[in-house]
Amino acid sequence: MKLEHMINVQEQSRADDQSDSASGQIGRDILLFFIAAAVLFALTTGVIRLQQSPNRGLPYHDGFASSDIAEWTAYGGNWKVQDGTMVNESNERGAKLVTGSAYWKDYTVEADVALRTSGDAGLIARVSDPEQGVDAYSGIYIGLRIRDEALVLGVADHDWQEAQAKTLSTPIVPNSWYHIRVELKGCQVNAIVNRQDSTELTRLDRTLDPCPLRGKIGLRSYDSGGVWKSVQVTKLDSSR
Amino acid sequence: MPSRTFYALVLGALSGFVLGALPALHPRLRPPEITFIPRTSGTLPTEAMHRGANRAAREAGFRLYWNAPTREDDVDRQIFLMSNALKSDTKGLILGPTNGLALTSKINEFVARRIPVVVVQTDTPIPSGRYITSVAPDQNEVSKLAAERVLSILDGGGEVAVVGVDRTAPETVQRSRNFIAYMSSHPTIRMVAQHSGTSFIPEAEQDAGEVLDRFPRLKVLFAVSAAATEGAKLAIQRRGLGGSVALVGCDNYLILQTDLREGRVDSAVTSDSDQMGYLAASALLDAIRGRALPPPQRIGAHLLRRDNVDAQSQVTR
Repeated sequence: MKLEHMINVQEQSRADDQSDSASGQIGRDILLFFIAAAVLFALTTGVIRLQQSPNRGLPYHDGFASSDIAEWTAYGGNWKVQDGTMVNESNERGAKLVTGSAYWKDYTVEADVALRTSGDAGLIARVSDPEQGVDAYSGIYIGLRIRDEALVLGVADHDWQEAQAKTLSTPIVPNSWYHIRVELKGCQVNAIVNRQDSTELTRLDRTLDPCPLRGKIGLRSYDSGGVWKSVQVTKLDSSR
Repeated sequence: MPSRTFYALVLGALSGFVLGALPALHPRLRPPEITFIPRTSGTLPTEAMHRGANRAAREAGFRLYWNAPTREDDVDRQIFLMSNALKSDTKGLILGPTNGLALTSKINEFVARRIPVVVVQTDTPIPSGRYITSVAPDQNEVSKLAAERVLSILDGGGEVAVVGVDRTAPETVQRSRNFIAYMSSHPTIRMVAQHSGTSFIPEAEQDAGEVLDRFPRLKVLFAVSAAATEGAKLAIQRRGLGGSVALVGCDNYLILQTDLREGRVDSAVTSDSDQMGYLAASALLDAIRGRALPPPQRIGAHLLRRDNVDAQSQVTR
C-alpha cells in the first residue's frame, strides 16, 4: 500500500514536471517570436532608411570617361558619350537624361553645358515622375535659352511655370562651354552661370512657392541638342 | 518535421519584416483620373488648354494626367499614350488628334468600353454620340475674321495665297475652304495659291517661300495654322518682303504677341484655349458622373492686331 502510494506521488510529480516544461517551452517560443520580429523590423526599417537616405550616393560625379551610361535613364532624345562629354544629338523638345536618387533633398548640382544654335539646354533637379514629353516630369529646370539670351529658372509639374529669366550680359555663344551651378535648399534656388574663360557671372536667386522637395538630377534640352560634361552633385550643408 | 520553435522564429521574422516594410509599401491614394492627350505640349495654346482642363478636374476632385508627343505629327506616340491610358483605368479622355483618321480605331476602343472621349481643336473623326463629342474653335468664324481683315488690307484688290493646308489637321482645310468661299465674292481679289503645309516650322517656311518666289506680286499670305504663320513670317523676313506682303495668321504661338507688336505679323485669328480646355474637361466629367455628353461645342474666335494685342493677350509660357 505504501509502495503504491509512493509510485502515485512519483507519477504525479513527473506529470507536473512535464506540464511545467511544456509551458516553459511555449514561453520561450513566444520570446523567440518577438525577438525575431524585433530583429527583422529593425533590419527592414534600417535598410529602407538607408535606401531612402537623402545622402545616399552623394557626392556624385560623372565625367563620362566610359561609354557605360547604365545609371542614366533617357526620356526622349538621342544621347551618347563622346570624348568625356554627354551629347544629345536630337532637337526633340524636352529630351531628358536622368540619374541619381529619388530621395536627394538639399544639394548642389553643377555641370558644363554647351548649346547648339537654337533652343534651350540645362540641368533639371529634384526630378520625379519623369516620362518622355516636353514638360513631362516634376522638378526644377535651370538652363540657357538662346531665344532671349537668358538664364531661365522654372518649375515643371507636367506643365511649365517659369519663375525667372535673366538676360545674360553678352549673347550666348553656341558650342561654347557654360558652367551652370545650382544650389537647392528647401524652396530656395540659387543659380549661377558663367562662360568658360570669363569672369562674368549671371546669378538667379529665387524662392519658389511651391517647389518639389526631393528627387533626381538630369540633363535636359528643348528644341536643340546639347553637350554636357563634368556633372557633379554634392550634399548641401544644412547649416549653411 | 520543423519544431514549434522554428515556426515561432519564422513567423516572428515575417511579422517584423511586414511591419518594417509596410510604411514603404503602402499604395498612394490617388483621386480618380482623366487623361488629356493634345497634339503636342509646351506651346502657348496647349498650355492654356491644360490650365483650363486642370481647373475643371480639380473642381470635380479628379486628377488630370497630361502628356503629348514632342512633335505635332507624331501619330505613333499619340497611339502609344492612348493605349497606356486604356491600361491605366482612366475615366475619360480629352484628345487633340494629330491625325484623326489614323486614331479612329483607338478612339473606337474607348467608345466600345464606354469611356467618354472629348475631341478638342477639331471635329471628331467619327460621328459624335453618347460617348464622344468635341469642343473646337468655330472655323467658320476664324475664316470670316481673316477674310474681313484681308479685305481691309487689300482695299483696291490684289493677289492672295493660302499656306499651311494640312489634311491631317482638318481645321486647316476648313479654314482654307471657308476663306476662299468668302473671297470668291470679291472679283478684285485673286486667289493665286492654296499651298499644303505641315506642323514643322522649317518645312512651313520652305512652303511659304515657294509661294512668295512664284508670285512676286502677292500682297497677302493667309496662314491657316500656328506653324504655317511662323514659317511664313520667316520666309517673308528672309526675303525682305515685310513692307510689301502682309501676313494674316491663325492660332497663338510663343512669340506671336511680339511679332504682332513689331509688325512681322499683321494679324492673327485666335481662340480662347483655356476655355476650350475647361469646357472639354467639364463635359467629360459630367459624362463620367452619368450625364449625357453635350453635342459638339464651338468656341468663338477673335482677331489679334498690333493695336489690341496687349488688351487680349493670354498668359505666356
